Amino acid sequence: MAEVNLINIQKFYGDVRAVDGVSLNIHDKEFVTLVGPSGCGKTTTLHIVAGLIELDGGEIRIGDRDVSELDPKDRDIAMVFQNYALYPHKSVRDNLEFPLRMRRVDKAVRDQKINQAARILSIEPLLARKPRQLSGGQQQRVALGRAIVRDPAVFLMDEPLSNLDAKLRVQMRTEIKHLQQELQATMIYVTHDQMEAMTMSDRIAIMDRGKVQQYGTPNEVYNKPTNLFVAGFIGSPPMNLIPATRVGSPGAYSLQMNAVSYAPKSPRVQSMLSKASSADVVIGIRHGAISIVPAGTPGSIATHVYTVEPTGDITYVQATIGDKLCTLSTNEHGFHINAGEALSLQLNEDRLYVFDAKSGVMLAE
Amino acid sequence: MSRKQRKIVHAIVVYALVGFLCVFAIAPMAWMLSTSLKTSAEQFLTPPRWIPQEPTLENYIRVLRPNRLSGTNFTVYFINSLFVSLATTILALIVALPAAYAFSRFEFPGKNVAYFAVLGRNMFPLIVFLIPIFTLMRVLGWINTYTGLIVAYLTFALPLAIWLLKGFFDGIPNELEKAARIDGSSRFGAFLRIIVPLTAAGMTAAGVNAFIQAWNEYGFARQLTESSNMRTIPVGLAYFFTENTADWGGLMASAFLFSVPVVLMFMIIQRFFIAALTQGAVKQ
Repeated sequence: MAEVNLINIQKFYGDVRAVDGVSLNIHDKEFVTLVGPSGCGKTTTLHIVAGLIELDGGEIRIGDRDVSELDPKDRDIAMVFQNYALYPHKSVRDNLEFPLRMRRVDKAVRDQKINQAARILSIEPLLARKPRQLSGGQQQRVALGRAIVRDPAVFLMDEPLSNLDAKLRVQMRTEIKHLQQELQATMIYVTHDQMEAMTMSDRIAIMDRGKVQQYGTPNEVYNKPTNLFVAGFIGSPPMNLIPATRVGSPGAYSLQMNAVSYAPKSPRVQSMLSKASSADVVIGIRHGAISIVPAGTPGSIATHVYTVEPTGDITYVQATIGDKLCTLSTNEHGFHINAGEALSLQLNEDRLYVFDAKSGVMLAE
Repeated sequence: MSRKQRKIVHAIVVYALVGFLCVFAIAPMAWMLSTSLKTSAEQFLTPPRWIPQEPTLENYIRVLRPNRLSGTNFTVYFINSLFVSLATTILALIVALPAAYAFSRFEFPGKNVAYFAVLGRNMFPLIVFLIPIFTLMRVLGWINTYTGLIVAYLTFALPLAIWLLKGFFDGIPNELEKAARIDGSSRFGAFLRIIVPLTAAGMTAAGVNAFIQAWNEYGFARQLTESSNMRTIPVGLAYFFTENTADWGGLMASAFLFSVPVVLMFMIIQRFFIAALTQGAVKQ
């Protein structure tokens, strides 16, 4: 296993900057996820690391080697593809054997590695079958097996779970995470599913328009999003983002959200507000940081219930704050409320963020 | 009508139509075989007889021997046909495989124009190219040579092979080569080890097509060969008619021998061939 460094990677297609100066340091044995909407450059970045796409600028280092100019086969990587890319004319055993054979590994070692991989992934009974005789989940395992037989320096995963059904996806999520820990592997994982990114990664790189918007632990990107894009992308449901106007004077700012006026009491929020470049700001608050309080509670915001979505343990309630539809949640057992009912909300100011509306950047505390 | 009656009527109509088609297709073949086994006297009987009364192989024996009088030599024609058709098939596949792969996988300037030019060849009847190719071959000194015939045949065998194989390559996911390249192959190695084996069905389809087209071709063979020892079978068959005589028995015996390789080939790989064509047509 090895450390991976992406240094100012560039890839252009005509005028389109597909990857625009991406730099990432990935520690040895670390699980890093590149996540973002389609077209954000995450897959291109991964393919550049693999050597399947040539880079237009920058450098890729795996361990202490500069691999930027090397062929994929010489980079000591293994890759799992979204459609598995199993060789249809080869049996499962031959699929697992192919990368070893290509590297002229001895027959005895090959057999041992194949059996070991098959045991780890519980695909021993499938070794004689052809890929088309396997279910999606089994094909997925074989694809993983073909990657692990070689003990590569880095594993690259290109949306490996996207073709599975929802239930299997959650199961394989756990398995891949477990496998990574068991093998002590360095893994770069690409997905468009922020939930996958959150649950599996040591660190997440959130990408948009060819650039890394934020690189941090799941906790950091969830609780300290650097900008509006990350705030809106990470989390399900996403962070509530409410446009507001700052009024008043430093230390005693209040927020005007359409008809609703709100005066933050916390010095932290006041400090953030003082750093805005103009009066236009965006308030960000997670569903869990809004609570329902009795009507008339001082500092509460009065509104009406728009919809109620019970999911079992947690009930999501949607209500407008200053014309903007927001989601809040409660895990109170037996909670019940009807659409249209009046509602008073309190914002947890410790978990309230202020973004500059113009630049989209979260303001410092 | 009840449902059962309707089914019966339906079956009768279907079988009648299928039967008619079969007769339409098989009758000339049967007649060819029948005539080839008749003595010359029996060939001209009215009303004609389907089953020869005194079946004889004399027509076959005659055509398989060189005929000094008419200068026909079926064995030579057969060898010529076989060699030219096989060479056309093999060359077409060797050239078409990488060409189709490039059209399927790579982006390069002029790709669409080049592909259109390849297919464009099939938009014109073969006969249109007869004179230009004849002129070209004369300049190259390839008249009355195998090379001339094979190159001429490649003008129709190649476009079809490229088009067929491109369909197959398009159906093979890109990721397979990428996986192979990561697993340790070069780009060319991935093509040889992964892509070519997966295209076996397509290569069969393209190869059989090229072979049959070359085997049956008459116009070019007639124009581009001069001496009788360069004739292919279709040209040779025409020489069974002279100004004064028509050797029907010899013609039919030759025609039967001519059909055998193609029929045999189809019988052996028929299922494979049809699967290959439909597989290329529909993307999975």
